[in-house]
Amino acid sequence: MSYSNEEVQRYSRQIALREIGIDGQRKLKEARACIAGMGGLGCVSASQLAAMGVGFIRLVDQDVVDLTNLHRQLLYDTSSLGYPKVEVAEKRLKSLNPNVKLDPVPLTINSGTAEQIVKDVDLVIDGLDHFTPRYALNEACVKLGVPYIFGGAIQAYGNVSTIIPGKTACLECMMGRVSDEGLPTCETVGVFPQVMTIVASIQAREALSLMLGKQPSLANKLLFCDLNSIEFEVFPVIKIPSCPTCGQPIVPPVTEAPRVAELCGKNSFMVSPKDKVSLDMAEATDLLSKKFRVKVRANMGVTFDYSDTISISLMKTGNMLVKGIAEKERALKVYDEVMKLLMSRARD
Amino acid sequence: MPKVKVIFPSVLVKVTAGDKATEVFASTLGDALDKLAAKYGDTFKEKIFDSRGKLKRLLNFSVNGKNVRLLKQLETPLEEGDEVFIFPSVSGG
Repeated sequence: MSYSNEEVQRYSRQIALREIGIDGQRKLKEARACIAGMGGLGCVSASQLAAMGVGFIRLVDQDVVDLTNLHRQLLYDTSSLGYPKVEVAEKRLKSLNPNVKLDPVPLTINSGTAEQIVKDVDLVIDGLDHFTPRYALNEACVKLGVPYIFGGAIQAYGNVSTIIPGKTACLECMMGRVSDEGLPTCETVGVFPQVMTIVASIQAREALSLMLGKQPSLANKLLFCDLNSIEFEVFPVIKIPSCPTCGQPIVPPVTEAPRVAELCGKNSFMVSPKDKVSLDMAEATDLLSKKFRVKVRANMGVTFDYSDTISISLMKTGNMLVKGIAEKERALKVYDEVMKLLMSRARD
Repeated sequence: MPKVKVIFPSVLVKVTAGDKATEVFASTLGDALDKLAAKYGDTFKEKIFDSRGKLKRLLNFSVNGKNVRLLKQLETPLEEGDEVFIFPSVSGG
């Protein structure tokens, strides 16, 4: 693998590092990473990996940019509001480093989709904000043998651990099965942007160790950090032979992918299609604009007013974020109505 | 009865009278936590147990690194010299 003069100069300050060097830089260029969730954590880890020249980075997120994201999600700005996060992130990261191949995927991560996003990468960095999709990712990574760098951040607190399938404790060994119901979220209790940056930077450093063929520092360990007291603590976490996800024989529990997920406290739901969908967004947006007020027309999605109180963001994968509805059944009904409209008009 | 060491995370130190670790004689995790609740009082108990007397979801309890949620929960047996770690899970991102 050869380098242009531009690349040698661009990476010179990290090639100078004893831990990287020219051989390490080649490994980074050959590496394939997936960032699962492009929120406060994912924006930081994706920026660092892209800037450092990791060859392939898949960016996965179901959401569009919201005003409440901007204090901590550093790839987005006011002009990004309503656009799919992965579309904005791809544009920014491409501008940051045109040498990197980016794969933006506007998809909900659940037990039905997790394998498809991790199957052809060397490692996954967690940028999610709930446990349910994390367990789906953990199961897919264990099944396919893909290292998974878990990270979480809320208020002033953070967690990081590096999971190597078959060798270390998996997420379920570490924490059991924690239900998301009633747990505090960044929306209900807040989060310091600084803890996001620290957690994601440690995740990215662990990813670098794996890409460089070195032992990660947080294998079989869980880091807990508290930025109120600026304390970092590391706890041992040991693989448990009877673990339902990674115990022997490895038979991850089969959990049906939920079609509707409520986004805590927002009167919002994320609805996934029953089957795999790939919409022609230009055509879909034209059709929707005949009936609804389109607010944002993007390549990977469209945001429009379904009514005076209900706003919808529809992704090309068929994932739909419905805001302004309190009941799950109503969200599903709206989803079916919009998709039916698109399908019937497309056939005309 | 076995003597075990219990290690607390920084966020619990305000309810453990400043202790970062302590030793206790106990045969199960539940036994150990009951004795610690008697030592440190209700504020400690409220941090550890929910209103139904179960371990709080966002706190993890491990014996020598093995999470008791995948063992026998509060009934997990303890042996001489075991280390019980209490550490928080963080869900957001």
